[in-house]
Amino acid sequence: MGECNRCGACKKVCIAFKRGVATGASVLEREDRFTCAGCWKCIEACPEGVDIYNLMMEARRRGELPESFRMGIKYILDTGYAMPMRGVNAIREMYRLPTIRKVKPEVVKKLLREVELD
Amino acid sequence: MERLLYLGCMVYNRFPDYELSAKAVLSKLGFKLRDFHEFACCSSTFIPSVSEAWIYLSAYNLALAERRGLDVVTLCGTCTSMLKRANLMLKDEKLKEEVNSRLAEVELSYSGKVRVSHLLEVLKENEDKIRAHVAKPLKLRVALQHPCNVFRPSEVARFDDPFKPKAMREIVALTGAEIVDYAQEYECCGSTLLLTSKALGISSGASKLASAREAGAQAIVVSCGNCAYLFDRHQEEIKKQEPKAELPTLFLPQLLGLAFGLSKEELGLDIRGIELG
Repeated sequence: MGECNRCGACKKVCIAFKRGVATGASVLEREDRFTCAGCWKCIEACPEGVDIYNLMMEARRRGELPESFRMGIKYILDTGYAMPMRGVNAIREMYRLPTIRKVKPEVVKKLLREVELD
Repeated sequence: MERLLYLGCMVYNRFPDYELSAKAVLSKLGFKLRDFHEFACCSSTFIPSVSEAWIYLSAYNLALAERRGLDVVTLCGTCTSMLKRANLMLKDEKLKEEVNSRLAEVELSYSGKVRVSHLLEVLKENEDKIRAHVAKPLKLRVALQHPCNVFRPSEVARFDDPFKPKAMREIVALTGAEIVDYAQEYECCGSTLLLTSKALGISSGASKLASAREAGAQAIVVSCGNCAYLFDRHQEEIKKQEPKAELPTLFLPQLLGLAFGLSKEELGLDIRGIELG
């Protein structure tokens, strides 16, 4: 894995930067690491092969979580899905789709037991 | 030709017509799509943002598929990328052992045999069959929204060109529909920006759709639930910001299904109430 030489190639292709999200020399240097479209053009553009995906995720783990992320994570920890699935089977029926058995919440709790929201 | 259809949260929750039309079209092409009971979130952008444990949840889905002896077809970009990323990482024997000890607690194991392909990849591998099934060539001008994570990061996706993907153009061209070139064709839709900034998400969507409509498109074709979530479910807010951004959203298999001569009901277009000008 390469190291960032702060050339700015990642910024040039970043949609968040193009739309005004304050960014330092590279997309990894910005303060708000959550306002990211996750399109990962930055990774393709980087001439040094910097592991932007993992560095970005590691940086997020050190910072404070935005409320929307907290909610998504809470849903996953509680139900196994990133959003509430109430009523999903009634809608499926309307489309003549079969009912799908949901993951058991206790399975998710075992799999993600170290993930905690404070 | 038997595959397990991984819906992901977004399609399961909001886009039954994407599922319905994907099943209808792939069934025409000879596939038997099985429902993925007890699937869970792929971990998405959420769990990796707080913990390395994300891989256990991704691997859980792969292990379920392996137990059924089936390869997986995905419908959204991020699900595709997360499941492929987990698959790649699990080539490391030490990590695989660690993941398997966690999976054992839920009576599963994973050896690494499952292939994950996005719908686009499956369609691309079946171009000849698609060609043979086109019964009603479409007289429609469409703009395309290429699903970012099906192509990027390329070391994970290993499919098509990461900056200027061609697969979707090649498949849509088979339907007879005219594909318009528009300035922002290869830009990300920006849907995920909605999570932390509604305004940024809406303005990305508005500028893309306005660019597509200005180029003469009558619909935007998507092959990811996240793109549809922005373009379709936020259409009213987008229109409020930019009246010229009014454009219906069609899922790729709905477009293919129309060209195959399938009915609106078979493609879920009756319930969605999509009118194509």
